[in-house]
Amino acid sequence: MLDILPTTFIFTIINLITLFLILRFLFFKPVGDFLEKRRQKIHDDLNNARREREEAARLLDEHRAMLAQAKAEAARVVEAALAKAEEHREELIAKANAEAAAILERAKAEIRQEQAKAVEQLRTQIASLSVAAAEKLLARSITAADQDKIFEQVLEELDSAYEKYSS
Amino acid sequence: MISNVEAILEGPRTEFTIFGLPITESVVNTWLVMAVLIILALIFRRNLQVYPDKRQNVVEAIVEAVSGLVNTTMGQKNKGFMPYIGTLFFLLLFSNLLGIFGLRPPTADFSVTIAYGIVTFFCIHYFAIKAKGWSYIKGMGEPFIFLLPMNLIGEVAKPFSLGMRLYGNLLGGSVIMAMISGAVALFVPAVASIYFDLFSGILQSFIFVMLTMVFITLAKDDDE
Amino acid sequence: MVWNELAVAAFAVIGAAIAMIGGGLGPAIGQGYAAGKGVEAVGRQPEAQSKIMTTMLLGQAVAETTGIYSLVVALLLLGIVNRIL
Repeated sequence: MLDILPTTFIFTIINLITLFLILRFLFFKPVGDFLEKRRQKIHDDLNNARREREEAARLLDEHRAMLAQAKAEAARVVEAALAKAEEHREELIAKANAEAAAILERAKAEIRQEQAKAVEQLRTQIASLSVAAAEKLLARSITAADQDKIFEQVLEELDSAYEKYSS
Repeated sequence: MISNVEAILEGPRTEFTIFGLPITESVVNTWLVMAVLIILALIFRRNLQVYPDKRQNVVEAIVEAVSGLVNTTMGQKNKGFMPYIGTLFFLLLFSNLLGIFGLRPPTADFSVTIAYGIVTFFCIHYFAIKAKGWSYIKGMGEPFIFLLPMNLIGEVAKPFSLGMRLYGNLLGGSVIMAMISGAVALFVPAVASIYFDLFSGILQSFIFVMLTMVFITLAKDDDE
Repeated sequence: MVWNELAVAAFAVIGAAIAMIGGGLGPAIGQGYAAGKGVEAVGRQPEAQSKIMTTMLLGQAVAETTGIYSLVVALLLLGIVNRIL
C-alpha cells in the first residue's frame, strides 16, 4: 500500500510541471499582466486627477491673490483720490478765505480812505464855515442872540454836511 | 460493502500499459483534472476587459485571492511563486474533489502525493540554495555538526509528512465514505460527503499549498 | 488456513485498533486545544479572524500528522488482514 509505483510517481511530476507551464502560459501570466496593467492605469489616472486638482487649486489661489491685489489697488486709488479732493477742497477754502480777507481788507482800506477824505472835507468845510462866521462877525457887532444864531447855524451846517457826507 | 472498501485499500487499478509501463487510474484521473483545468483556464481567460463582466469578476476574484494568499504568506518579494502555487492548489483541489463524482481521487495514491511532496522538497532546497548559497548548506550543521543528521532527517521528513498527510486524509476519507455508503445507502452518504469529500478536500489542498509556501519562505528568507 | 496466519491477522487487527486509539487521541486533544485557543484569540481580536483561522488550521494540520501516520499504519495492518483472509 505504501509502495511507490515509479510510473505513477514520474508521471505525476511530469503532469504537475506540464500543467504549471501550460497554466502559467495560458492563464496566470495573461491575467496577471492584465490586472497589473489595469492597476497601473488606475494608478496613473488617480495621479493625473490629483495633479489636475492641485493645478486647479493653484489656479484658484492665484486668482484669489490677483483679486485681492486688485481690490487693494482699487482701495488705494480711491484713497488717493479722496486725499487729493480733500487737499483741493482745503486749498479752495484757503483761497476763498484769503480772497475774502483781501476783499475785506480792501473794503476796510476804502472805508478808511473815505473816512479820511470825509474828515478832510469836513475839516475844510468847517474851516470855510469858520471863516464865513468870522467874516460875519467882522461885519457886525455880535449880540448874544446873534452868537446863538451863528452857533446854531454852524452846527446846522456841520450836521447837514455830516448828513450829506454820510449819505 | 466489503468489496468496495477492499477495492480502495487494494490501491488504484492499472488502466493500461504503454511499453510495459503500467498507467494507473491515478494518472488517468490526473489527466482528466488537467484537461478540465486547461479548459476552464481557456474559458475564463477569453477577452479580458477593463470593465469586467460577471465571468471576469470570478477570474479576478480567484487570481486576487491566490496572489493575496501568496503575498501575505510569502511576502511581497516572492509573488513570482503565485502561478506555481495557484496551479498546485487547483490541481490538488480538483483531484481531491473527484471523490464527489465517484471517481478515485488521484491524491488517494501514495505514489502521487509523495511525488508532489518531492517536488516541494526540491523547490525548498533549490530556492534556498539559490538565495543563500553555501551558507544554507552550512546551516544544516548548525548549531552543532552533530545535529546534521537530525536536520537532514527533518528535511527528508517534510515531503514525507506532506505526502502522507494528503494521502492519509484522502484515503481515510474514501474508506469511511465507502463504509458509510455500504452501511446506509440513502441520504446519509450525501451529508457525510459534504465533510469527507468537499470540506476535507478543500482544507487539505489549502494546507498542502500553505505548508509548501511556509517551508519555501522559511528556507529562503529566514534570518536575513 | 493455518493457525499461525490467523494469529497474525488477529494481532494485525488489534494493532490497527491500538494504533487508532493512540493516534486518534493525541491529535484530537491537540486540535481541540488549538481550536479553543483560536476561539479565545478571535474573541479577543475579532478583526484578525481570517489570519487566526489560517494559522489555526495550519497548526492543526501539522498536529494531525501523527494521527495520519497511525491511520496509515492501521490501514496497512488492515491490508495485511485482507491479504491473509
